[in-house]
Amino acid sequence: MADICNDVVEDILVRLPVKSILRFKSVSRRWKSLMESERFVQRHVKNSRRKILLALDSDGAAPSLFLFGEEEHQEEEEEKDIWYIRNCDASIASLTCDGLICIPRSDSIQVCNPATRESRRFPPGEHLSSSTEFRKGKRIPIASLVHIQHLNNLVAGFPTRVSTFGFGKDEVTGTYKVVELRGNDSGSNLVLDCNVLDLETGQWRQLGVVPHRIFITERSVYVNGSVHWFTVDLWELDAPGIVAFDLHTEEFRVISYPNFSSDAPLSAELLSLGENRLSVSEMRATPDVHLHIWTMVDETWVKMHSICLCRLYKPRLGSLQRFTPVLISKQGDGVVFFFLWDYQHTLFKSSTNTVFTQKIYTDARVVDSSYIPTLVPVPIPCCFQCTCCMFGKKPVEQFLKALDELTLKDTTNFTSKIISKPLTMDSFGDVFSVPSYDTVSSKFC
Amino acid sequence: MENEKKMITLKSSDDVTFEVEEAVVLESQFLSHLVQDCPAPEHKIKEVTGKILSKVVEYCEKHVVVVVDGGDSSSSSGDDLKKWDDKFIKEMDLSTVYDLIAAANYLNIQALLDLMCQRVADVITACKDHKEIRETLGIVSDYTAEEEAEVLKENEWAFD
Repeated sequence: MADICNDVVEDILVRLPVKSILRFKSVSRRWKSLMESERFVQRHVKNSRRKILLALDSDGAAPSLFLFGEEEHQEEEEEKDIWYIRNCDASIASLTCDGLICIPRSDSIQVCNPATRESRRFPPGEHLSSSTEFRKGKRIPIASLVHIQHLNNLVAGFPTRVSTFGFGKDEVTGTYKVVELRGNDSGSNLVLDCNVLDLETGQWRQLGVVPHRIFITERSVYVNGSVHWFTVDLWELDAPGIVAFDLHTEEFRVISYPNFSSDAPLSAELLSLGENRLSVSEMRATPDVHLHIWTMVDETWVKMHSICLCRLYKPRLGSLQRFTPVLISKQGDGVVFFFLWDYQHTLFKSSTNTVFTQKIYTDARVVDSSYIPTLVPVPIPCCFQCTCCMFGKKPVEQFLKALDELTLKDTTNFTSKIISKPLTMDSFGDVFSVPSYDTVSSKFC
Repeated sequence: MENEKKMITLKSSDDVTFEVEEAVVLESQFLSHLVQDCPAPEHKIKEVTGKILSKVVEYCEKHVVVVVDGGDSSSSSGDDLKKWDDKFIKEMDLSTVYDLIAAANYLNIQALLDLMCQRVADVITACKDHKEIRETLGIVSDYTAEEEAEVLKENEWAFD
């Protein structure tokens, strides 16, 4: 193995699962330094297979988490490694990127990588606000984390001043960012302003008023350097329908909805079905109930699939049944769909090769439909404002703050202490062995 | 196209010769450039021994046949090929795998390189700890005892 060049050793090692990599850093220095290089980490991300991260409700207890693969014969495997995620409520989150999971909480933004069990807390966005009452008792709205129904009348009951979050990577610089679109106090359901947390610096920045109408309950989807939201216009049949926030330029741009017709779809959702492409799934009732999946390919919408839901869909009074595609994969010459039905949170599998639709789970929630266990480290911000104590060392910021707090009196006290003692070249005792200036300078000539 | 197949002779470092169809040679990026640039009937490959070259030729011949036959790339031929690949690597000891990796890397045959790398990766994944890997793959550790203990401690939980 010693005579194989580094490139090939890397070719071999990127194929290992995360746990093996962590375990085998101890083989040699060469392996460790290879495995810890950024290039290796990024190659490993690309090499990993995406899986569905699923939370299954069990009675009263914390939900168990499963990884669900797309390989033909692979059934689910309970992910014991991800037990860790349970402690941080990630079973309700869907803000993920490169195996990192972002969980906005009432007192902090938590970012963790369940595969490496790394976790770090970042300051919450509210510290921007001077209003203390806003801080008090604020809870993270579950609505911004889980899939909820896109019906205007359901939104009305939510508390004021909540936010919808986005999480992703600035593709140009490689930094991960959290975007918070905050609601306002007036009781409206629309977001007001936009703030961005850069995980590299740990700092929030205010970007001002959001120039689009987005519901505070809208769920975001990260694809290819941008975070996407539906706008209200979509539901009022008024173009364009989708807003993308570019994490590098930090600007919004609009994307038109793929399929405009005279009537609104029964339901619609933004999705990322892998391959770094934005998809929209919409349910339409005419002529009969179908799920249509559109994917953005080279700046245009292409209709990829239509799934007939006639056998499953039974209209119920007063409630809309929503079907969410979770994973679509090609197997042989057929296409297999996994989708979640919000009625009893049922996960189904359906294939173009058979007429049957197989029920896999009930009481399931999808944490991430394209989760990859990766080695991506949770960034350590260079200046931490409020949670520095976790690291053991104090950030520069705090040092500078301490300097600012020094008063003239502190300086006077300290100086008088110094001059009251006999003068030595070294403040710690023994001055006999200090060489003379000439001996030192002669050594350098 | 069928009637006339161009044959090319490959010669290993220890002067073992293999006569193969041109299509087989084209599986290797390196050789396809070589054949294009100098149209000699025989090519000597100094970096690869006869034993390894025979394996490379065996692999390329198998894969080229399937691609030509399966114009409609039916799934059964794909399955057969996978079975053949499995058998091909199963019979091999690790030192042959290393030599094949070096050869595939040199001759630039990506599919063969992938197959071999995956095989080593599978061997590594099956190992329970670093000591077993060192033993199996013949790696000499350059850690001091303290350093090793520290790295182990850092990732202790991964051994559960």
